[in-house]
Amino acid sequence: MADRSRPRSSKKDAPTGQPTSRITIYLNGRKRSIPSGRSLSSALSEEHIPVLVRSLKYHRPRGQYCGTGQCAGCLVRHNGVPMARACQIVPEDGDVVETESGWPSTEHDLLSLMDRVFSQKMDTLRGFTRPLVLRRPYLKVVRSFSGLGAMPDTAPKKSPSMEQKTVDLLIVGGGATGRAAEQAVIEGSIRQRVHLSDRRVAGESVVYLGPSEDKGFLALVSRKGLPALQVTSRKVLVATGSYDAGLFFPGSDLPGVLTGEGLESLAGEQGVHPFQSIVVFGGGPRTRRLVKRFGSRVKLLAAPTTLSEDLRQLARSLEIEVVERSMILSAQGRNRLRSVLLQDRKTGEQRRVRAGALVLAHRVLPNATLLFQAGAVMQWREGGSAYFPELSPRCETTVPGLFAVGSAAGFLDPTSSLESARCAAETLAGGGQSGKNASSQSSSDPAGLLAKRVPQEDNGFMLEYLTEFLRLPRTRKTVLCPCEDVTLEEVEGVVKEGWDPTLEVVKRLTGTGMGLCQGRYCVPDSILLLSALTGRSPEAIGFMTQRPPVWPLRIGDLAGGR
Amino acid sequence: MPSEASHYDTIIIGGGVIGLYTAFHLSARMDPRKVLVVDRTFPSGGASGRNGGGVRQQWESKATIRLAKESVQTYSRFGRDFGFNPWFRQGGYLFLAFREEERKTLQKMERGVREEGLPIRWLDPAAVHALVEELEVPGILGGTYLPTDGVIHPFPVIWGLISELKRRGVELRYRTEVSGVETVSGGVRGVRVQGELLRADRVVNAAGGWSQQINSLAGLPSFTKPTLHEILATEPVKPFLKPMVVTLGRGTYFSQTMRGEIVGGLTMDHSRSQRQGLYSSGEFLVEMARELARLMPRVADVRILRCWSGYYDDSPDGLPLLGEDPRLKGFYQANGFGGHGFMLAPSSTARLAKILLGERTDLDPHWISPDRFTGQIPGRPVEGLSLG
Ligand SMILES: Cc1cc2nc3c(=O)[nH]c(=O)nc-3n(C[C@H](O)[C@H](O)[C@H](O)COP(=O)(O)OP(=O)(O)OC[C@H]3O[C@@H](n4cnc5c(N)ncnc54)[C@H](O)[C@@H]3O)c2cc1C
Repeated sequence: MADRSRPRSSKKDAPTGQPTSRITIYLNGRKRSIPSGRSLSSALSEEHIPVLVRSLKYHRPRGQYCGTGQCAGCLVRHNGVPMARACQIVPEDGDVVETESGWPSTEHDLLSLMDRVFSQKMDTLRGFTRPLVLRRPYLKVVRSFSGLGAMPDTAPKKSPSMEQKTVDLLIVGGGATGRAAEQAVIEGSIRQRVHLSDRRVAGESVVYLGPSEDKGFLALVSRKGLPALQVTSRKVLVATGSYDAGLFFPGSDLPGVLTGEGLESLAGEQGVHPFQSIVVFGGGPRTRRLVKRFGSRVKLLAAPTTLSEDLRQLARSLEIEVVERSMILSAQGRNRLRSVLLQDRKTGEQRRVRAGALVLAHRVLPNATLLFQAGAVMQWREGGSAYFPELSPRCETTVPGLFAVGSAAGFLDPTSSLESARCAAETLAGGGQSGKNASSQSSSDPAGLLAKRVPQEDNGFMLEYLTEFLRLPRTRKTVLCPCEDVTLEEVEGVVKEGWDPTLEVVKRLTGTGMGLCQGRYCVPDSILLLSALTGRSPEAIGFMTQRPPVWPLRIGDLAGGR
Repeated sequence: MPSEASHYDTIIIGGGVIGLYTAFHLSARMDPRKVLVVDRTFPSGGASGRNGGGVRQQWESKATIRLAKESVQTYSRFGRDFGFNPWFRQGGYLFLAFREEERKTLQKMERGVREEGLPIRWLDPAAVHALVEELEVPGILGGTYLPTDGVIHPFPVIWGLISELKRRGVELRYRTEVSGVETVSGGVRGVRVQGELLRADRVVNAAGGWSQQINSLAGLPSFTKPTLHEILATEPVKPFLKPMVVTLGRGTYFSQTMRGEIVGGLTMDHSRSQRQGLYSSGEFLVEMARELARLMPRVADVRILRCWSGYYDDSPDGLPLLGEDPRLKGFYQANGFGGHGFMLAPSSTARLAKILLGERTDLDPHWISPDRFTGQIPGRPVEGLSLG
């Protein structure tokens, strides 16, 4: 093996002139100077998105994708801790970072031959069963490839005990909506103890929500660098917002294809990212925000349907080319994105666009996992192509004391989102007496509020889009579920064979949705895919149980103290 | 369907591993079209799709040891026989003793298992540590290790059975709830599904955690009762853990799947909970995390990916109920498997199929027959290692 302690180039080791703005880390044993104050994946992506991970079965290259710590695209070993999300780590001087997959290295992985050898699929469901004498060797070899990171070599220091807290109201999500609700509750009643958890503000994420043994709710909150917090609360308000959906097409798992949030997290507050030319896919308000922020590097705006007039104007003013009614056929590149192949959905005309990044912003989905977990009745809403809570006019779910507001509840535009927060807060400030005295001050019409759900960012086009996509010939493997390396072809096969084509069964047959992101990025499309393949309604395809925790939860954070 | 067609020889209520394997053995010996499996939910929606996949032959009673031993052989050929790979990995089971009584219990069990010709060993603390280096917990007195025990992936077993039964022509009706068991003068006549009467000479109650409900449809009190058990999986880590590890006491167990996840559970008392149906509790997450971190401190830096739950169907003596219910002619029990129905399925249902066909089995009826609870015959052993 090459001398790993030798710096790759003397330039990297030389003083940069701004010594405080850079730190030194050890990446796979080599010293490397990186900018400080940015996430690890951002800092490592000065030139391009690096291949940090090789996928489980086919050893396909992966890089930053979701930017929220959910996907399996940026896992590294960080100071001996396996499977740390590079997008969530702000590295410190002297940190030791190792990539863990691939041989001899993650960047140059000979095992990516698997992708060629199993050009259709590696059949772990039915394969490797014959001859019987090879059973044990098969087990041995296949097992040796399993796992994403190695167990830590040593035990961490015992962390302090989990903390406990009892409040009257737990607010989950500190975006504009959550904070507005907090404000309104505090103003409305000074006696209430309110706790607000937010991932971005305080590094707190509520990963479990259920009824508590005595009364009200029990929430487990994971916190950055601290033991978990256990909150008991009489009432809970969920304002967890929404997230950018994924999309599958050949090459959708290449480094350089990422969600809007993925790009935002990579750019950080400083707005630094490695891409010279970006293709943005989408056409709604979410796309508008991204185009506004990254406009100078956006080369092409491809919309799956049509663009709103204001977005068209914005693109014109920024000299961004626009193509409407377009479909992503595939993404090309070896270890990172080089070009995108687009097709006009009307004429069928194809064109190839060179790009360093393809940003998915075509679809916004509710962060509703906690509502499912807590047992709220959820309804499929066609316009949103997703499940939203059944709500009372006061934004209370079917679970008494559990409220849902903002885009998590289906209020997608900022105005109705804030309205929903105020509406719920009035009831909550009134001590839960269904807002008797509070309603007199009510400025909003509760009944009208519910009608404002979902339409703005209309996802209704997705079923048609995917149906069209499935009709087109495909020559390359399409990874539907990147965490588990499940291909579109596998799911198609399951349907063809006549298995019950519901999500619960397809999940158990193929592994779709069983990976690190727990289906956040593949399940919404899988529902539509199965609907398109069978002609059944998306509702008949069903959903899968949303299993706690929402975010993977460090064992030591729960176990501390003993 | 014409009324002629809906007269079956045997209707099996429950399409979990027990119901399916029963149909498998039965349809090999009779017209497959005369066998019907009915299940309320989707395939593997019951405990058979929610378990830890542990397959062990370390038991106190001879009946269980023999049944499990035979299942190990069946499962090691399952991939070839059914064309679905259950990835049955035989890394052994390690039972740990922390207290003197636990050691006595295990060493007694060890003798019985060895008498059945199985290569079980007693490991002293150093040998335990050599087998699982990560077990850095003080106070281990030793443990029993049987290398041919293992862990199986439950889903492919279900898919393999379903495919084979379909091929043979056995009718499988999932998403179909049995809402009545029809009887006439002390005998069973058929079952009612969606308002329709399906006639049968024999009805098998293989409804697992819901067998109590099926019994009450037939007007019979139950001897078994469902208990909720929770289980969790971590993010997949590279292979490090060879055996399934079990502690006595709370029955904490954990193993590593072929994907690399550490899967484990422990027994919690949910009897006072107000919650309905299947659920996951925050209390379990905390308790299980503490157990894992106590037994393997290094695991503290690994993350829990998901948790879920399912029902055990617990019987009073830790042994299943297999055979005709003396209270109702033609009504057969195939339940009460507790947390061990997956590993006992292939062999115990082979016995049940024989009973259904009116043949004698090699098993002592005092061990398995439902008669032992009605006082028709005295029950004999109690399976003390029915834990985990
Ligand atoms: C968390 C957990 C861990 C476990 N770990 C292990 C282990 O490691 N090893 C092991 O061997 N075993 C284990 N078990 C136990 C094992 O899973 C069960 O014993 C086994 O699956 C029982 O199979 P079954 O077919 O009897 O039940 P099930 O799989 O539950 O099947 C019963 C079926 O009956 C159906 N049904 C119910 N009511 C009706 C109705 N009215 N009409 C029609 N259908 C109906 C249900 O839908 C269900 O599918 C575990 C169980 C759990 C819950």
